[in-house]
Order: sequence, then structure tokens, then C-alpha cells
Amino acid sequence: MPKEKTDLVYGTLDMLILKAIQLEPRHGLGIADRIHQMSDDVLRVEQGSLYPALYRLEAQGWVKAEAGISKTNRKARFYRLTAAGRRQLETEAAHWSRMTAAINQVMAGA
Amino acid sequence: MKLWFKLRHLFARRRLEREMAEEMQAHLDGLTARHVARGMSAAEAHQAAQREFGGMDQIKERARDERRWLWLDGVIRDVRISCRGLRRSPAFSVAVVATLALCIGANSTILTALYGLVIKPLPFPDAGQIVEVYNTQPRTGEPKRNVGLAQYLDYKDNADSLADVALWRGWMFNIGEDGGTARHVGMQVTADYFAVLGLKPILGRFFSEDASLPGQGKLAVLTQSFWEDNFHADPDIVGSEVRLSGSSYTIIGVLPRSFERLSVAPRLLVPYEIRSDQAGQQWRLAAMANMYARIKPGVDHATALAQLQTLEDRFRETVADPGLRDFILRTGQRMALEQLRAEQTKPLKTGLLLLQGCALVVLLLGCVNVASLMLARANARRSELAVRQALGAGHLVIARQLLIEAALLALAGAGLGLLLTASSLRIINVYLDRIVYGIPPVSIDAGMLGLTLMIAFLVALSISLLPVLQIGRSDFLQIGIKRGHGGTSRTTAMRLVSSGLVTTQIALALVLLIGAGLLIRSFANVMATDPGFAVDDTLHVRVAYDAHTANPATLKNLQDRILEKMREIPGVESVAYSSYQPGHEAIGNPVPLPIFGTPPDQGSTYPTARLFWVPPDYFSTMGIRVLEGRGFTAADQSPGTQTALVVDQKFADRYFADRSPIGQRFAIGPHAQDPSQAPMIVGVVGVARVDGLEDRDTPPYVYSVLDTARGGLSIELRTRRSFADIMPLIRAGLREVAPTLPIYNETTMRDQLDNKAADRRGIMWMLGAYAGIALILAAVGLYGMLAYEVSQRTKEIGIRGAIGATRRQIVSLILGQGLLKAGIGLVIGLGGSLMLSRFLASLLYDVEPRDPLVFAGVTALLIGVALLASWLPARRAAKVDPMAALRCE
Repeated sequence: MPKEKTDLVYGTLDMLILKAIQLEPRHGLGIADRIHQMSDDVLRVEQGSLYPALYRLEAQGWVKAEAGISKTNRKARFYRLTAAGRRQLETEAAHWSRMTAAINQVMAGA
Repeated sequence: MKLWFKLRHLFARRRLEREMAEEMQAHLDGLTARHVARGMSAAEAHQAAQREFGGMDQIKERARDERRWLWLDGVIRDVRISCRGLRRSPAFSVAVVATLALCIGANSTILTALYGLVIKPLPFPDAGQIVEVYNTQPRTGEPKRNVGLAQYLDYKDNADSLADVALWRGWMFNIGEDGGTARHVGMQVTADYFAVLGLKPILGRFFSEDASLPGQGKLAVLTQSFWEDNFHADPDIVGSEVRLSGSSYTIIGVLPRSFERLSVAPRLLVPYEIRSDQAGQQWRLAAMANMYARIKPGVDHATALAQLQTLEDRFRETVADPGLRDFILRTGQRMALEQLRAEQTKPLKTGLLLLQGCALVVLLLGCVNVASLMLARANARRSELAVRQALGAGHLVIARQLLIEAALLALAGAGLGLLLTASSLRIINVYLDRIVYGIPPVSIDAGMLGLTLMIAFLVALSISLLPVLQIGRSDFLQIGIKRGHGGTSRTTAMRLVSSGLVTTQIALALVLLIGAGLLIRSFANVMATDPGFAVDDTLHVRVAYDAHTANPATLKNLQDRILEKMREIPGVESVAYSSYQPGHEAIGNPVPLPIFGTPPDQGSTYPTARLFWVPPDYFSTMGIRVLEGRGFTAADQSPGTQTALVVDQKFADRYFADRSPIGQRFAIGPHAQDPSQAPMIVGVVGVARVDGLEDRDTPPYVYSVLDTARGGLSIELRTRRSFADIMPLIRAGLREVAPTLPIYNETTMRDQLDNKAADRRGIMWMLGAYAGIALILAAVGLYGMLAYEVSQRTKEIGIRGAIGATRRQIVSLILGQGLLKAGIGLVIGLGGSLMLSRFLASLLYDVEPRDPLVFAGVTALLIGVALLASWLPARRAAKVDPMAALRCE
């Protein structure tokens, strides 16, 4: 029996992070949780990839880090989607759906 | 965005690092808390969370990589390492920075002056086409002579290669209802002056053509600074009346600031009145005014000049009377023109170019020293660098660090050098104004700043090149580690290069020193010239007359009262006066003085001299010796008597070499043809060098007697009291007699002569300073090389000592080495000087370019310095303890 894959599809982490903070700013753990939860516990983000990705997105200007207080009343860095990030998310989402549709079509074909 | 983010990482590294740690810790704590909530113990929860999170340090490093530029990070680290390293060896750093500062300062000072004065065009449209036009009479030693009104009118109508042509001359004025006591410099200009320069008024308008008609020209145009300083930049100034020298003028406009880049002297401009009685062709060559012209676009200067010369030739052939034609042929009179800025700064160009050459030599010397210092340092650090290389630092990384170290030193040097530049420019500006009157001061501009930094960078690159190349050598690592802490002796090639450099340094320093020596001797010769008058005990002060003092009787009365007041001042021994300040250019050009009885067709033998009108007590007051005949007496002043003339020795020698001039007459003035009435020479006086001690083709003087000075009163006072002491008394006295008349041009005659030697003095000081720096650099270079040599050969010297070499032998070993290099340098330098010194000839005075005294003296000085520079390391070598030297490895 083939092993069930929980790894992220290569290159989609950035998009998922952007998606996770689309509605509200979240801190690192919150983002990981959100992706986990939105994928019905299928996708798990490794911390080892999360933070480098966050800093990369910050450097691109797609997210902005702000100091805030978490639900457990701790100081935390919250990542908010910037306008440029929102546009990026739209582009990537559109690209993703085109790709998946195409792949599905290939896979569904006989 | 990305750039900014990464840059922020460089400079806010600590804060970002802390934030990252906190953030990850919070994440970890969150996970832990979650596990605790599910019922784990604190320790278990912590462990589980850590397992889940992964290796925090690895994550951090990966996160950091996203943030930074690796190489720039390395640069910052290198800068830190370099700073620390340089702080650890202060002597080295100070030596390098000081040398660089001197070299860069010397160069950027002269470059700034050269650029600002010679290279940078005037801020006028198409400034290359603006020229100064003048007469030149090379055969009478008058290379530049003002033009006459007839020339102006002729060119205006007939010279179609000129777009515009204009006249101007200086005009002194005082301002205000009561005259005021401040005297200002202004100009009289024709209407086309503004078109020639291409100026547009910032307020109002400029003169129109008819302002130059007699009686029309009571108009004034202000310079922007005068408008700001004296009229508080009043925007409604146009149309208002202002009293200048007692007459009312209407202000019609304000000049733009760019005008002041040409000259800062004039404060306002009034129309040049073209009087028809001066505009006749017989006055064509009377030097009346300066002429500026704008050559039409596309026409070159030579074409324009040829056209002007054609007009002059036409005048000579068809209009001029035989006397004038003869004068033109005899004096070699022709037209000349020169681009305006070039003409203005001509007196500075040679000196500046010379100094720039010297500054480059100094830079070269300094670079050699700095490069040797860097090399010595790199050598001493060989093992450190070798270890770093062995640990995996690539060539490039080590080279980068050496380059950064050099760049830091060069930057510090450039910074200090710019400070040096700023202060030297202040001194240069003082001299500039004395050499070229009214020239705007030079200052460091952005371009210069950039150029200096670029030079600094190039210097850094070149001085770090040698050590870097050395690292690249294949055996570097091996040698470095094998030889351990003591470093290594240089290779033969390196030693040859460095002794070659030291030899070159000494040769160059010698050349500069000889140049400076020749200039110093010239200056001493100039200063030792007998001025021919009591230069230390005479001073001059001038009183300006205004329109009210036009009546001859009133003027005479005023003059008598002023002079009487001056004589009453305690300490004043004698008082004289004249219409012009002695030695002032307003005295005018030499005039032809036909000797009575010489046939007119022999006009080519007419003597020429500068005519100066003085009262009987002028000679005694100024301390001018009467050599033959007599000076003037009061009787000479009374009207109707035959005009008496006194000539100076130069005139007598030049034109009466074989006979006495006394009793000779000149065919000039209203009684030119009457043998009993024509002006007669009654005496010969010594040459008074009021025009400057230096005899630069100064024309001879012929004195005539003066009764009442007009246009202003120049007073010469003989006193032993100091200038500062007596000036207030003079002012108070003048104020008492004439409270409204301005006093100006107050100076001791010594200061006046000193100012006339300002160019010579300025160049001498600068070149002297550069030669001094060069000498020090060469000495340090020689010392440094020998000292390094000694430190590298400690072991060898120790062995020599151990096997019986005496101290004397060791001293002479090192000394001999130093002197050999110095000797070779001296020979090369002397050869170079013999070839180069003739280029200085135009700046020398009474000194041969190959003056043996200077050559010998400078050689001796350099040998002495070389001896000292070699003796210090030699002594250290002699003190080497054989045992200690052998034990040290």
C-alpha cells in the first residue's frame, strides 16, 4: 500500500501562507495551525520551512510583520497581507487552479 | 522593497535577531502549552514541542539566509575586523592616514583652484565665444593695452564676425545723501556689455544704447549682492533714486548672481559715456577702456581677430596721420583677443599648473610610502593570513579584506585631506584676490568632492595591489606557515622594487627641492632689490572727491587744508600728494615724448615714459634721491612758467646714455614748437620701484609738477610711527576737514610692494611646502625601508656580531646601504633638475635655472637628511645583542 503523503506540493508553501492570512493577521504558530485546519488536518507545515518562507515573503513585500498580543496573552509577531501580497495571492491562486484543472484533466483521461 | 529589507538587516541586525529568537520561542511555548493542555507533564510537553519544532538553530540560519546578502555581510564583517586591526596598530594607521591626507590635500587644493579658475567655463551662455579684445605693442614692452573709443565704434559698425562688442572701465563711487565714507567699486559699461555676457536682469532692465550719450547716463544697474546688502533685496527698487558720488542716479535693474562669477569687485554698473571729443580717430590708440566682445556662433577666434586686424590696417593706411602710422609700425601695435576666462586667469595658470605637477609628485611619493607600509604590514601578517587561508578563506576573501583595509585608510586620508584642502583654499583665496583683482574665491564643489573620493579609491586600490598579488603566489601559504610568527624577509624581487622606489623618491624630492630653492632665491632677490624710496617709512591714503568739489579754487583750498591737517599729526615728518596713488595703474600707459629738435620723420626714436604729476616735496617725502640737477620747487608750480620735468635714472640711461639729459626739451604741450617755452628736463632722480620691486619691463617715469590734484587726492606721508598707530589720527584729521569725503586705499608702501609680489610669494610658499612634504616623505621612505631591512636581518646581524663584526662595521653596513640608494637618487634627481629647471625660467628673478648655489645647497641638505634617515636604523642594528638575536628563533 502506497504511503499517504502529507508533504506540501513543492512551491505551494508561499501561496498557502498568503492564503492563511488572507482574512486576518496571524502569528507563526497560528499560520501553521490555520493551514493544518483548512486542509482538514492533511497538510502540515514544517517550522523549518515556515520561518524562512515568512522572511522571504516579508522581503518581497507581500507580508508585513507587526507586533501584537496573541490569544494566550503573549507578545507575538503577526503577519499581515499587504496589497502587493493580495495581488500575488490572486495571481498564484489563478495559476494554481489552472494547473490543477489541467492536471486533473490529464489524470481523469484514459 | 527587497533592497531596503536587506539593508535593514545589515544595520538593525541585533534587533532583528532578537525578534526572530522571540518569535520562535513563542512558537515553541505555544506548542508546549498545547501539549500541557492535553495532559502531558511540563518536561514531557517541552520535549515534545521541541521534537515537533525541529532544530531551532538550523531554522534560524535558514531564515537568516533569506534575509541577507551574503557578500555584503562579509564586507561589513571585514570593515569591523579592519577597524579593529587598524586600532591595534596606531602608529601604522596614523602614518598612512597622515601621508594620504597630505597627498590628497595637496592635490585636491590645486585641482580645485585649477578647475574653478582655468577649466570651468564662466556661467554665461556659450561662454567660449566671449573674448577680451586689446591692443598689444610688443616692441614697447606693453603686451596688453586698453582700446580707444574709435576702435569700439569702428568694430561695432564694421566687424561682422562679432555679435556684440562692449566697453567697460572701473569707476569708484560713494553712496548716499551725505556721501558716506565708504568707497565702492563700480563699473561704467556700454549698453552692449550685457549682450556680450548674455545676461538677463533678475529685476527691471539694463541700459539702452542711448544711455551712453553725453548727459543721458544717470542710470544704475545693481549687482545682486549689492542689492541684497545695501537695499535689503527690496523688490520695488527699480525706479528709485540713489545718490552716487554726489549725483542722483535712477536704479533701473538688478544683475543676476552669475555675473559675480566673472568678478566680485564691482557693486553696481553705470553707463559708459561716449564723449565725442574722445571718439575721434586721432585718439584711436589712446588706451581708454577694456573691450569685451562676443564672437558670432560658428566663427572661430582667429577669423574674428583677422577681421579686427584688417580694420586696424585699413585705419593705418587710409586714416592715420604719418606720426600715428609711424607709432603703429614702431611699437608693433596690433590687435589681440583671448577667451575671457583664459585672459582673466592668465597670471595664475602657469603657477597653478606648476603646483599641480608638484602635487602629483608628492602624491606619487606618498603612495610609494603607503604602499611600502602596507607591504610591510602584509608581510608581518603573513602567518595570520596563511592560517586563514589554510582554514579555508579563499584568495578573494583575503584580497577583499586587504582592499577594505586600504579603502578605510584611504577614506580617512581623503576626509582629512579635504579638511586640509578647505583650509589651504582659504589661504589661496587671499593670494588669488591680490593676483587677479576681483576674482571670485574658489571653493570645493560636489564634482571636486567626487573626484577626491575617486582618487582616494584608486589610491586604495593601487596600494593594496602589491600585498594582494603576493598572496596570490603559490608558495605564500607554505612560506607563511613555515616561517611562523616572525614573518619572512622579502624576496629579492621585492627588495629590488622597494629600493628602486626609495631611489625614485629621493630623486623626485630633489627635483622639487631644487625648484623650491630657485624660487626662494628669486624671491629673496626680489625682496633685496633696492626700492629706491623709503618704502618702510611711507604710507598712502586717498580721499575721494565728489561732484561738489569741481571748482578749482575750492579744490585748492580743500587740498591745502587737508595737507595742513596731515602735517600737524605728531610723528608725520613730511607730506606729499598726487592725483593718483603711486604705482597705481590709473597713472596710465607710457606716452611718447619727442625730444625737441628731432625731426618728425625720425619719430621711431621717440622716447616713451609714464608721466606722473607730483608736488615739489614728493621726492623728499618718498625718499627718492635727486641724482643730478634739481627737484621741483614752488616756483615751478606757479602758472605761466616754463614746464619743468624730472626724469628718472632709467629714462636717462635709456635715452641719454651718452649725454646729460639736463636742459633737454620735449616737443609736447601747447608750447611744443617754442624753444624757450617747451618743457625742459631740470633733474634726474633715482628709480622708485612703486610698481613693484620686480623689474617686469616697468616703463621709466617722467615727473611733471602738480599744483592741485583732481578727481581725488592721494596723500603720501612720511612717518616712523606704525600704520596701526597713526591711521586713526589720519582718519580723525581728515574727518575734521572733510567729514563727508570717503577715505580709501590706505596702505603702507611696504604692503603695496608686498601685494605686488603676491603671486611670487604664493607660488614660493606652496612649492616650498610641497618640496618640504616631499623631503619628509622621501626621508621616511628611506628610513622605513632600512628599518624594515634591519628588523628582518636581526638574526643575520646577530651572527655577524657573534663572529666578531664591530659595531662600527655594522653601522657602516646599514649606513652604506642607505647612502648608496640616496646617492643614486641624488644623481638621477640632479640630472632631472638640470633638464627640468629651465621650465621654471619664466618664474625666476636674477637666478640662473642651474644656479650652482641652489643645486649644491639642496644636494647637501638631502645628503644630510639621508644620513639621518639611515643612521637611525643603523644605530638600532648596532645595538642588536647577538645572543638575543640568535635566541629569538
